[in-house]
Amino acid sequence: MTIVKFVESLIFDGRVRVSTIVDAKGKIQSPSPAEIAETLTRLRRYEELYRPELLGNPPGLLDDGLYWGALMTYRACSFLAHRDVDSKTIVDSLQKTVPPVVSPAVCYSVDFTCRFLPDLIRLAKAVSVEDPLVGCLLTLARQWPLSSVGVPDLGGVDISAFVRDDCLLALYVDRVIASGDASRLDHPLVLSRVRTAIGLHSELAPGLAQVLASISESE
Amino acid sequence: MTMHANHTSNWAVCFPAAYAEYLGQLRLVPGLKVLVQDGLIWLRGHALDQELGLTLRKIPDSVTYSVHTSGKLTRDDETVPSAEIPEGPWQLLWDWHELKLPRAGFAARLDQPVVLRLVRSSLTTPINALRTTWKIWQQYVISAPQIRIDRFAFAMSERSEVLVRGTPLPPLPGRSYFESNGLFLPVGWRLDPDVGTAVARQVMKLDPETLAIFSDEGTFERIPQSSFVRASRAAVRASHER
Repeated sequence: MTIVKFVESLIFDGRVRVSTIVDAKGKIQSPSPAEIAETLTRLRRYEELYRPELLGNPPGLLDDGLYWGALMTYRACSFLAHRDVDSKTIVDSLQKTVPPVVSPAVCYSVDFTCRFLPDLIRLAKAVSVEDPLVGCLLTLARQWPLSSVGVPDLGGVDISAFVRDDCLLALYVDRVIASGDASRLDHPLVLSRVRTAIGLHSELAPGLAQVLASISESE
Repeated sequence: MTMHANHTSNWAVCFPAAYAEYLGQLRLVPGLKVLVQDGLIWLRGHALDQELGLTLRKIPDSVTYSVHTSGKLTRDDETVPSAEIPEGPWQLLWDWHELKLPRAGFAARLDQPVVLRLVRSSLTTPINALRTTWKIWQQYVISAPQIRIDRFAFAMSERSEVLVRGTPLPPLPGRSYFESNGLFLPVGWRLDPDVGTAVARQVMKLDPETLAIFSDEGTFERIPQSSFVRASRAAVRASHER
């Protein structure tokens, strides 16, 4: 399955088939320029369907971030399915050429496909916790906190790149509540938004409501 | 009391015509003859066994006679004839006693059916539906957290009104309802008589795919179940564009 078909299946089915991306000499195969262009075209089209689900106006899409996020997800899925790739190749292909995290637009563009990172990490951990792939994915998760809500044991994450964007903050808060990830309540703005969202209805998120109550007692 | 008639071959019984129905149980006794005269019924026969005599004695105000060959009648509690048997014409009881079929039973008809209506209620009911305007609902959904929106389904009318189902309902202006089994009752009101929603739906002739929303005046509108869609920001935006 090419990266073009991969992103289509990922977005619409959530089930993907991936072939190996390593050639006989152990080198990573890169998509052709035509495939890259087609991937971007499709991702932009799919994002138009996704955008109305978000609160407010999401940032504009950036091709670099959009494609990079899709490529990393594609590669990670391939490494998860094809276990004969050496750890150096995995690390090189997943941890180099990381776009600088400087703006909400980059975060949003990468997130469009990297939002499946928590599921990917869960699957990778199920195969082997010591797998170099798991380490690489956890590194990505720390680098892209918007996309990694719900991943346990990440430690503190820096959300300054998007926390001032109303749309992405709301998206982040929605994910924190949906996943019950109390580790993300360390930012005061996130804490405040989660409190407001749950309000008096603790039954909406019992786990988080308990954490919020204990935070309130300690304040 | 003893019945002398037991020892005679012919007998007669006389009793008021008002008790004619007592003859029904004698209808199949062979040879009995009957005569109706001056408001009295006369019954005569030949053999009088114990069972027949017992049956005759059950007839109210009846007098039993022995019938002599001369036509004289002697009461069974007397020894001297005191009357004569009427001349007739006598009929066989079998012919005289017509059979009538019982009246057919028909299901009862409701001349004044009970009408369902809304009455004020002091009962506390949960609020699980809200009728509000499209503008208010749209503003809420596009700015509310996902966890709140996920709880709702909504239907939009051509009059730009929205009916929202789910809990906990948002604190928006509008009319609150208690929905049960597809019936939306304004809070503070209940159905009278309180027959339950299943019966009420039958009375209102609602099919399973149809909901009904009541007004305070007691009238109701039908809403197809399919009018409701899961609440989402995309659904609200799509509805707005339509």
